[in-house]
Amino acid sequence: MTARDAPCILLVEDDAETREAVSRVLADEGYRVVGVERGEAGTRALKAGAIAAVILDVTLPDASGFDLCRDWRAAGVRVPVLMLTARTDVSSRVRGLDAGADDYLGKPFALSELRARLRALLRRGSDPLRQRVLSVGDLSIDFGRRQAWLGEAEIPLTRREIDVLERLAWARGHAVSREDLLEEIWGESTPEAAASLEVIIARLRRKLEKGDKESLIRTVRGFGYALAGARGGPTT
Amino acid sequence: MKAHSLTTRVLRGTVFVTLVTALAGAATAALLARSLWQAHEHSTLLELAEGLAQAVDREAAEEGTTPESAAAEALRESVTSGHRAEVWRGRVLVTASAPGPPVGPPDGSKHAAQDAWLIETRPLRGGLMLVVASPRERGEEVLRVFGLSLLLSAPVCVVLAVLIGRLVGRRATRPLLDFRDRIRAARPFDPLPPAAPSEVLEVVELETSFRRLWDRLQETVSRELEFAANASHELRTPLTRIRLHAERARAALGAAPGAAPSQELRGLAEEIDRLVRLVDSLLVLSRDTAAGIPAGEVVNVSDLVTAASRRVFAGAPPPEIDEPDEALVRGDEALLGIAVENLLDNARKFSLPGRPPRVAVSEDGASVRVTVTSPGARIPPDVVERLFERFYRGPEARASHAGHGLGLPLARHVARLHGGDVRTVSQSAEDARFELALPAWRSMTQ
Repeated sequence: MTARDAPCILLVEDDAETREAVSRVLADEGYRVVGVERGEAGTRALKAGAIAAVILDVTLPDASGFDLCRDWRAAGVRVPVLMLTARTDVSSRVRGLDAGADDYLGKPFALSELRARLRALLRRGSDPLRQRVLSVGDLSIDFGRRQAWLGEAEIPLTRREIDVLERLAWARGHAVSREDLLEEIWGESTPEAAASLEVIIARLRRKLEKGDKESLIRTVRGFGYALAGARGGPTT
Repeated sequence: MKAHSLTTRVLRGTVFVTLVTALAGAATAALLARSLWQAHEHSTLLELAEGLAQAVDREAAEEGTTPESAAAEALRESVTSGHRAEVWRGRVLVTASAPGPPVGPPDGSKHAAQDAWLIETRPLRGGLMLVVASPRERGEEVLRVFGLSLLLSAPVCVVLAVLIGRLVGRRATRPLLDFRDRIRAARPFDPLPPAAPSEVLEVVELETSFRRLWDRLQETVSRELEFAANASHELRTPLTRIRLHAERARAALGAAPGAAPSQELRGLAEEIDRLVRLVDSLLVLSRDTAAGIPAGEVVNVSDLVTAASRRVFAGAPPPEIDEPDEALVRGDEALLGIAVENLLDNARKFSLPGRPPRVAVSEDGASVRVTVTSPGARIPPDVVERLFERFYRGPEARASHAGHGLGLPLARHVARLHGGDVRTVSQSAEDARFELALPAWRSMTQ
């Protein structure tokens, strides 16, 4: 089932059984998987090349995942990195993103969510120029700290609302399908999740679109949503 | 027993000692003054008697009169007022000054009039006997004047004692009060502020013992919290494995021809989720409320209530929910979700069958409140506060429901981490009602 041209995933995880189980699941999905226990071996595997994405555990026997990721980025590695950790609070998230990780998943995770995140990561790749702050007109959003401002006023946006905006911003003005949004953010495309997405789009429009300005979030009928005015991607 | 401040005690002691000293001093001084007066008066009387005797001798020699008339002459010339002089031979012959009954006779036979006098006798020529006396009343007056003036000085002494006592008390307790002020603000997990140098040995020793005790306590508490945190971290790894195995097994079974997704595997997945939540709870409880939530994100409590009620009441009659579209707070979404879920789970367990719980979310600008009511459930007054103790389970919970006795303590802990609280707001005769209150979202730039 594993073809020679299938994307190769580097899995750096010190727990043998978790490594084994995740490897098997990813292999079932059609990926080639290189599983290593230590950070050092991970760095070697990365240097050998042909790695499409890295799944990196934060607690490793020889290094912290944060430091490891920072070293890779400093060495010019552009491979997308998904971090696995036991902590999912904002400060850990900011730390992970500061270290150059592209996404963040808390343990114990559901396999469906891991699969969806990995798919998204492979599709958009790691963008070295990606800024953590999106600015459109008066609006600026710090995706790392999950804070938004309209002019001087702070706009209260919840995690889900920021996630949806972030996902739309990554598409650089292109439309993102409802299914992709549901899979990557809710981890499931159930009717409840779909209803929840509708509510969040409505709330975002209410909070971010003041007066008669042109619509920030454009509905693409029968497909999904796109972020207007964000062509060229999130930049400063 | 009522506790008094050290200053008050020092003050009381000083005043008491001063009062006793003043009174004793006044009495002693008065008695001493009277003795001195008596001694002085005796010698005056002796001198007077001697002078009179010489005068009588001189008179008798110069004038050649009888001793009686010489004595009468001498007495009239020499005795000053205030003193009494009498000349006796068997009976009183001559009296000088101060009218009144005679103070004699000189042979020592006592009578009432003598008590009021200080008396000296001296023999004269011709078998005559001279009696000189001074009224005791004057000595008593000295006593009174002395005693009274010292007594009158007592209030002044007491006022002085109060002032000095207060000064001394304050000076003596200052190092103690400093110590108290320094440790008063100390919270668990904070290091104690550095010891201020004290010259009072007792305070230095007290502070040393206190610091030793504090350090030991800190060590114990942090070891326990560390244990809980470590344990839950350690438990995550096997839980991740178990969850992965279960998911794979379920997928494998689903893929096999003719196999239905197994009931057992679904049950297993639910149990794993329950364990994950329990482990999360231990981790949350090991956090110190004083530390708070470091970097809160925006959380919509209405969404949390909707999502939690979907999870908690899956397959059961849903609760009545009254909530606005948005009720925003700042905090940790996962933790707040745990708090809300525990409150709803509690309501589900303890509501009477056929009567769905009621949940109301409200926001008044300052705070967001979630009120959860379990119809038909009654909380005995003696149990109310115990419900918030870790691992406490009420009699009803022990009898009929699964649980760990962590739900309410956890909800309260999470609320307090966010600067809020969970309280029971019902009377014992009403339906059980708990309220989660959290500070409403405010812009941090304001």
